[in-house]
Amino acid sequence: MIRLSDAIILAGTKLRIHRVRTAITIALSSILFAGLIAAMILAQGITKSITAFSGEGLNSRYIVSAQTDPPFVGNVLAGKDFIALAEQKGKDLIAAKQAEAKKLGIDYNAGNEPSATFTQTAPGQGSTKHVNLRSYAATQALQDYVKQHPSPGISELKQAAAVYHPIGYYSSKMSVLNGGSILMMLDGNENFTPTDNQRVDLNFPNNGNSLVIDDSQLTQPFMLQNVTVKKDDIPLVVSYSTAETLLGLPSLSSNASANDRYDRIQQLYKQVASGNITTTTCYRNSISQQQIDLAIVQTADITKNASNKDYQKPNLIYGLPAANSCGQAVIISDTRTITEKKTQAAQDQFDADFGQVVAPIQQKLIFQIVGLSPSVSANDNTTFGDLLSGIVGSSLTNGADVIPADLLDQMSNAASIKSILLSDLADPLYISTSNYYVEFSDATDARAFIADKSCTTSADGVCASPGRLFQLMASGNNSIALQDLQQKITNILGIATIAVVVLAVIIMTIMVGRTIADGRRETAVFRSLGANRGDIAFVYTIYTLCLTLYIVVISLFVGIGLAYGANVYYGKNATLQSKLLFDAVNTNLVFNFFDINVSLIGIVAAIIIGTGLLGTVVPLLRNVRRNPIKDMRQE
Amino acid sequence: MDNVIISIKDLTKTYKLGHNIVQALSGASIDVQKGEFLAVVGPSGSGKSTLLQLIAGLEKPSSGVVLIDGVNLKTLSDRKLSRFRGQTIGFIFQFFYLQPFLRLSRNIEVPGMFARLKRKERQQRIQQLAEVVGLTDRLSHFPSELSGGQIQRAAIIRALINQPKILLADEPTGNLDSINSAAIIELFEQIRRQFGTTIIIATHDAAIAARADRIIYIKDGAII
Repeated sequence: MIRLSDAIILAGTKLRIHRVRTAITIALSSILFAGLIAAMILAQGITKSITAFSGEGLNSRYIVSAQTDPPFVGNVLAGKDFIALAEQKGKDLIAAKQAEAKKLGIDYNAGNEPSATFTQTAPGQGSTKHVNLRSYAATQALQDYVKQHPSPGISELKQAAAVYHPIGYYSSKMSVLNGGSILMMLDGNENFTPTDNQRVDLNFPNNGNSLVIDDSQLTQPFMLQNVTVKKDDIPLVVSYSTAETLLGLPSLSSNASANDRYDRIQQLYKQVASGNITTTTCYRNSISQQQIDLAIVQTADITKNASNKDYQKPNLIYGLPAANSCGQAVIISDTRTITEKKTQAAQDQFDADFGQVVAPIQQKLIFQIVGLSPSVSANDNTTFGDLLSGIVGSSLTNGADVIPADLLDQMSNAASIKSILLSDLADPLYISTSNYYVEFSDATDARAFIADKSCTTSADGVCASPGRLFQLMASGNNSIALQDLQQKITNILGIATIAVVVLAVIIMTIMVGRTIADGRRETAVFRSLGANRGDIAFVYTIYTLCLTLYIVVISLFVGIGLAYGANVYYGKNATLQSKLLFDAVNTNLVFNFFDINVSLIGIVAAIIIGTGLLGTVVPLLRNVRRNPIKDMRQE
Repeated sequence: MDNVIISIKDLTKTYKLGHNIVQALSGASIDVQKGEFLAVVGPSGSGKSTLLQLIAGLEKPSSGVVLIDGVNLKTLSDRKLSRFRGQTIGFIFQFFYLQPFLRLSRNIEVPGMFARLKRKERQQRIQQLAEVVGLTDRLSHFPSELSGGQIQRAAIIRALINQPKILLADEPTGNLDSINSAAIIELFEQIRRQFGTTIIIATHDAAIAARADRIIYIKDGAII
């Protein structure tokens, strides 16, 4: 066979013939492969950067939240047995109250007692009896039911998740106040008469007047370094929005730029980390608040009637406590008779016996910010940024403000704080305040666990899948979705590679086919000069290799250039956006689009060469089988 | 018989041209002596080129035998036939068919490439042949920089680079003027004298044919 060096010489002449066609072929193929190379470099960079950013917050963890299905909606409440039980409880309650009132010597009008049930009439459907959850009897019935049918807990979760290789179980409890509220004491003082605009309470965005107490395994990624937790201050991981409120920073507009948002979050970290930020609040239960309100009204009334001789002052007059004390309203004068006092005491006893709060409770609560977690967008993902943030960002308990459980337990007054924040006397409808979490080492187990064990509730609120005790969902992040996203990127690149190869093969087949067809006379001449079929095939193969080498060099140059350019042009902004999206503001991470994997580039080069050779096979086979002299004659 | 280098027996060739069957050669028989200068004369389409292509083994005969230097071409595989052709036969076309993007020296080298001649040897032969045909100072030129006569002379020494025993020339002067045609024929005679090469020229030019040792006439595929 002809020597390689000679074949290169002859192949070189073919590259010079039909220069325009050759240039178009090289350009088209190079563009295709350059795009592929750029996409691969970018995908590699994006994947690596996402992986790096995923290490922030909870993104690198596969946590599934398990919520028990509230049993009190739907079938249970509508059940005849339960309605009968509530009615019986109502009758028993009235009887008990009548007996207790008689014993305490106070009046009791059973007619004022809220009925345990009520009847609703709907047109065409007749009348239906419902439980009246505002009645004490109905809530008693519910509490009895709960005691008999406790919600599934951590042990049931462990049982359900055991086969999916869990690596940890955690729990959280939503704080429910027993009425009342927690109000901020700005400058250390309580504002007893705030207007709506001035009322600055701890407006925890997603939970109303409640906090969440989370397992420290969940809060740990959001804890700030170098913050020393003060003794008796309640440690709190707050959302960005709460931090803004506590620091007195005006909220950014919804269309604030990424730079502004980034600067704001950095500012939050800086201020919170360096300043040992605390906020003093005052908790008052409903009675304590009523006494304060009464004191305000009485003071105003007395002042108003100061010159009115006919005005008769109340026999029990309250005054406001010192503004910085968070104390109970003070009694300024108590001119009640002994009988009146006894009657009131009996009434309080009566009310307390039947579940009502009668004693004022107030306590100064000092919260110390020990961590920051991203806010969950209040815009319900209306913008692309919100949507992306929802996909790739991580958050702690849906952006709530969270007390780390272990730090709370270490406090000397933990019991007192828990008695305020974790009331057992909450509305029974919200009795399922516990949430459980199970962590897996990878997305596969997490996904399988959710698919196999999650309860899907039907329209009546009852779990449609018997035996499934929990509503399961990925929690804190979308690491499962992120892994899917990365997998999809890989799949798309695979498809793109195939598409590019197919296109390039078509282009090369046409190009090489045309070149070979045009070279039939030359082939005939070569044959007459002593070339065999193998020599001809070898020359064309070398020609194709030369062509593909051009394509390799150009597509590498252009592809790498494109990826590098994209990184230069978009890298800085991508870093900024990623820090925001992944909530990785307090890091030195850089989003790098440009990541060359030499072996991957080698594979692409091999693909290009393989593609060229593949494109040559058909026309070459056809060519060597033809009789060149015949072709020449026909020309 | 020992001096016969080409022996053709009852050679026929038919081929399809579109929907028609063409009888290009019918029952041709001829012996050519070593060192003989043979002219094949006939009008266009008479079968001259087909005869040369069959002798060169570029085409397979429909029937009959071609013996070159005692070797039956029919018995050779494509590879062996190509090697045999490269070493034994030089072929010259009417339209020269030089590579436009190769310098003259490279163009002349091409048959040597296929014969795997060493580069140095090729260069020596090129120099030697270029001197014979007077192209020494043109070897570094591209074909487009040469005249028609120079190009045909280059095509001739390209055919001679492997020192073939037989030189087949298909209308070698068909594209040249009378002065260049005469010069080419002079060159053939010189080659025969210098190298003892057997030369067969297909031509329809009686003046050119008259310079040959022997003339055979072909008409409608038959030697007459």
